Amino acid sequence: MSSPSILLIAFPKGRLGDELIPKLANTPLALDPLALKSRVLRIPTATPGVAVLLLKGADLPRYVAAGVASLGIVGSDTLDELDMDLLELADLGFGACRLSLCAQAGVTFETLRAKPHLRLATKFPKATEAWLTRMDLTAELVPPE
Amino acid sequence: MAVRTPHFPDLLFGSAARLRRWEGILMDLLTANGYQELHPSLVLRESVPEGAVRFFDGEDLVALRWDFTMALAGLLARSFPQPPERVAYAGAVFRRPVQPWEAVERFEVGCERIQPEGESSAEADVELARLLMAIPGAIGLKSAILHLGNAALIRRPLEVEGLFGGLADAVVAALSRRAPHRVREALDGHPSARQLTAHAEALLSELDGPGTLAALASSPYAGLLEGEREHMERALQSLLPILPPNLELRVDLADVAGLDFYTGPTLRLWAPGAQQEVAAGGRYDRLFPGLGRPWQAAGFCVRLSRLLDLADTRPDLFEQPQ
Repeated sequence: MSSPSILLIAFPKGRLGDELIPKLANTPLALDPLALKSRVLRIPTATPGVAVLLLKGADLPRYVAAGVASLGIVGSDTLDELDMDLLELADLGFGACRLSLCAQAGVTFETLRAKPHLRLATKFPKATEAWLTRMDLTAELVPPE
Repeated sequence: MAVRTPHFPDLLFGSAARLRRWEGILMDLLTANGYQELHPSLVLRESVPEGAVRFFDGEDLVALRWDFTMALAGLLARSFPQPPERVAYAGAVFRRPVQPWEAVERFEVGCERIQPEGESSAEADVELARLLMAIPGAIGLKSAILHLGNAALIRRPLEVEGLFGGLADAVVAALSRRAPHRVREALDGHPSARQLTAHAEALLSELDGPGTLAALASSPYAGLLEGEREHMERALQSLLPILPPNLELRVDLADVAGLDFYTGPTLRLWAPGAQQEVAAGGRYDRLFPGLGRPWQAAGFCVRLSRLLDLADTRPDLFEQPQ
């Protein structure tokens, strides 16, 4: 549990974080640049009593759902994949992404349709399942270990 | 060797004593209000639901009791030609956890109010809300928030528009996130998109404010849902004058938790500052007819495991026992 005197906000690492952190420069949520370069767990912000946890996108909603952080910023694709009791307070309007279907060169959609059994590896089983339903395709989903 | 205690909780002295004490207090409260205990078997031999902890007993696949409401429904439908009006239960259920930190074995106390179909259910719903309101004080939780919702506010418009399956699930998921813009995205291109998005905006426009119920008037389905609105208003009129000082009552029009099960009013009890729902329930009038009994039912379940975790991690939320 977070200490009641500190508001902990979870920020994403990676591409989304790289886009987010510069946007917050000179705002009350600007991160302390020295702490950002260090290995500290809680990064202070420009507002006393508000700190940030940097987390992997897939882990972030779990931290908020478990009450470790009070709120967080994460891609909606990540939220869509998790069945968690979380509120989406606002769409911040950045971090758009595209889900692509990859196959060997020369494979067309008709080739895939003609195959009796498709195996599809994905980290996004819910989004993939919805797409398969829309396309009237059946495939065995293989989640990464 | 890694020890994953949260999954299979061993209760040490303090927690074990607390569990025993809370079970006793809550069962006494329910008994004093006319609820009689039933104790369905810990082992299920008939249908083995998904998510249950299963094992072989010889050649038979069996499961541990995974939910009291379902286990009790089977027991009641088998054993009683007429339903007992009020039943209570206490014990453990076993479920494969959805989240990695959830325990497999969970301790619960709960109750059900059962009536023949056709009887007015308004008093029963208020009775259950009043009982739930007494629970924080009974177990020494210093403060709590009670959310009143109604599953029919979402169910009925979806049914009227013939929205089922994946699309209905997407709308419900967007509402559960309190995100009307996601409802709009999910319904893009659907003939009922405009009405249902306007309805979602009405449900979400006055979160917990004094005008929450009045916000329903701006929904295109206001006429369809007039009965539900009146029911919630009457419940508020009954409950607000007797609200204990440590409890806050809020109306949550977009409560979609358990929407595939609940059919009417819903109740959720929260511990503020802990982001934990510690009790939940509601009306589920389709359960018994599905088992061949023309009965309607509502109930709630207190999640003692979550309260035990809270007492360990946030003892400041509880009064210290004398």
